[in-house]
Amino acid sequence: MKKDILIRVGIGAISLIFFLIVWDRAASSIRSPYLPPPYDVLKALISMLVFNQVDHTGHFMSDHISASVFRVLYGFALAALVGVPVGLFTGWSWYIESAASPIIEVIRPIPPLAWIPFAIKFFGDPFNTVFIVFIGAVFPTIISTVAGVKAIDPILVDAAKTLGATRSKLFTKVVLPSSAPSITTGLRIGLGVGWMCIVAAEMVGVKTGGLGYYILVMMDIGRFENVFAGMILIGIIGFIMVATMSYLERRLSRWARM
Amino acid sequence: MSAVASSKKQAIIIALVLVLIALVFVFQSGVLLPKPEVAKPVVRVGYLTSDLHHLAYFVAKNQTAGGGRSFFEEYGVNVTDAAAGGYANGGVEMDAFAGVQVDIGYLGSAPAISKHLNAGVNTSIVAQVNEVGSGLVVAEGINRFSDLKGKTVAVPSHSSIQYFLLLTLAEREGVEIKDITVVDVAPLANMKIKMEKGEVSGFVAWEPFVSDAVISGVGRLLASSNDIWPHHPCCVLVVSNSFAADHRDLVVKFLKAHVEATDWINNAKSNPNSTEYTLLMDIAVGFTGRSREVVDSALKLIDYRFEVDEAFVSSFKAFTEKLIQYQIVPLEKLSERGYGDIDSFVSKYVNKIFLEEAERS
Repeated sequence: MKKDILIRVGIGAISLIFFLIVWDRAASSIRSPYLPPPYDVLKALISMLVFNQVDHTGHFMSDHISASVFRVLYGFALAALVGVPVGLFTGWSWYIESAASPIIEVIRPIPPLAWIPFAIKFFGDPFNTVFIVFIGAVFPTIISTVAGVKAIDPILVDAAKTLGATRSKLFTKVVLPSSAPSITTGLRIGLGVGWMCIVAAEMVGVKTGGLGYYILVMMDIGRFENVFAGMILIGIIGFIMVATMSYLERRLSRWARM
Repeated sequence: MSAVASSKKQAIIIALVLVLIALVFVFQSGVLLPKPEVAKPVVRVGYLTSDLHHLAYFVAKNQTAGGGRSFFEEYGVNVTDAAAGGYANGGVEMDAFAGVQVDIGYLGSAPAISKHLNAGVNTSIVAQVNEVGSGLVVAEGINRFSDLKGKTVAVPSHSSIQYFLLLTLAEREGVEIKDITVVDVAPLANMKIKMEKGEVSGFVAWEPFVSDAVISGVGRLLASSNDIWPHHPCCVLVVSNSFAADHRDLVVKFLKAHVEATDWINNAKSNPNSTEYTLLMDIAVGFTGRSREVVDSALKLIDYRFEVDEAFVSSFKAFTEKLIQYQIVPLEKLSERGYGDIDSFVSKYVNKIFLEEAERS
C-alpha cells in the first residue's frame, strides 16, 4: 500500500517536472510575454505569496485569496442549501420532477457570465459575485442529487414499505442515506464549477479584490507572469477544495454503505 | 491489483509520456505557433464599443460626410472592422494587435503604453484621436469632491487615464486617495447601474457614459476631465509595426483620411445648425446607440485632435511617468524593450513620420 502511494507520488512528480519542461520549451520557442516561462511565473508567485506585495490596485495577495475563497464558499453553501433539497424532491416526486425539469434544463446551460448584468442590477456587493458562483454550483448539485435518488435500489424501497415505513420515514431512512454518495459527488463537482466561475464573478466590479479580479487587472496591463501566477493559485486552491470534498465524499460513502 | 489493471495503468502512463514528448516536438517545430496572416490590402481597424472618442473612424467611413465617397475611399484605403461592434477595452484590442488581428486601431493611451512596454506588443502611436472627453459624475448628495471621502468611486481600471484623473483631482482637493474606495467597473455601462443602486457615489468615465448618466438623471457632472487635467492625452491611433513596415503607403493614406475626418468633425461641431452637424449626430447616434440629446451633450466635452505636437508629447510623457510611478509599468520594462529612458521611449513610440508625410502630400 505504502509502495503504491510512493510510486503514485513519484509518477506524479515526474509528470509535473515533464510538464514544466514542456512549458519552458514552449515559452522559449514562442518567446512572447503572453506565455511567460515557469521561472518568471514562480518569481511572481513568490513575490505575491512570500512577500505579500501590494499591487497597483492597493490590495495584498492575502486580500485577493481571502475575498475569493469567501465568495466561493458563500455561493457554494447557498447552492448546497438550495440544490440538495431541490434535487431530493425532484428525484423523489414525479410531479415535482415534471414541474422542475423544464426550468432546470433551460436555465442550466446558460453560462454564468451571461448573468452578470442581472447580478449587478439586483444584488449589491458581495451578493452579485456570490450569485454568479451560486449559479455555477447549484446545477451540478441538483442533477447529481436527482440521479442519486433515481438510482436507489427499488428493492430497498419495497422492503421498507413492506416493513411499514411511512413516506417521511422512507425519505429519511432510505432515500437520504442511499443518495448521500451522489449528493456529495454533486457538491464536489458544484464546488469545482463554482470556483471556476470566480473570474467571471469578479468581473462585476468588486471592492475587496479577489483572484479573478487580480487576473483581470493584470491582464489589462499586460503583466502576464502575474496573470499566470494568479491562474496557478486558482488551480491550487481549487485542487485543495475539491480534494477536501473528495475526502468527505469517501467518508460519507463509507457511512452510507454501513 | 489484477495483472490486467496493472498493465492497463502502464499503458496509460506510456501513452501520456508519448503525448508529452510529441507536444515538445510539435512546439519546437513551430507547428502550433500562431502564424502571422499574410497582409491583405484591406486594413483591419480596431476601435472600442460605443466609444464616442472614436467617431473619426465612422466619419471617415461615411460616404455622405466625404461628399459622395468616404474619406477612406477618396484615398484608396479599404477598411474593415477587426471585430464586429468593436473591442470591449483597449487592453483586449492590444491583445488583438499581438495576435495579428488588427492593423490600425483607435484606443486609449494607457493600454497602448502598458501593453507595449509590459507585454511587448509591437506597435507605435502615429496620431492623436482626441484629448480630454471624460468626466467625474457624482450621485445626489455629493456637492464637492471632499464629500467622496469614505465613499466608493468607480473607474474603468486602475491603469486608465480616468483613474489618474481621479488621483489628480484628489491631490488638488487635498483628499487622500486611500480615503476613497476605488473600484474597477467594466463594461462602463455598469457604472450607471451601480450608481442607481447606490453602490457607488461617483464614477470617472469617458463619453458618452458621462452624458448618458447626467441626462438620465442618475448623477451630475462634478468635473470634466479638462477641468481636472487640461488637454490631457486620451485616445490615440496605434499601428502595428509589422503592418507599417509592409504597407507604409496604406498607413499614410489612412492618416490622410483620419486628418480629413477629424477636420470635418471639428467643422461640423463649430456650427450646430449646419447639415454637417446633423449628419455628425446621425453617425454618432448610430455608432453609440445613444439618444441625440446624450450625443449632443457628449460631443461638447470631447476635443477631436490628430496632431502629434509638443503639447501632446509632453502630456504623453507625463502620463507615462505616472504609469511608472504607480508600478503599472515597472521601470525595468523600458530597458527590456530597448529604451534608455522615458524620453527615448516617448520619442520612439510616438512616431510622427507617417503623419508628417500624410500632411505634406
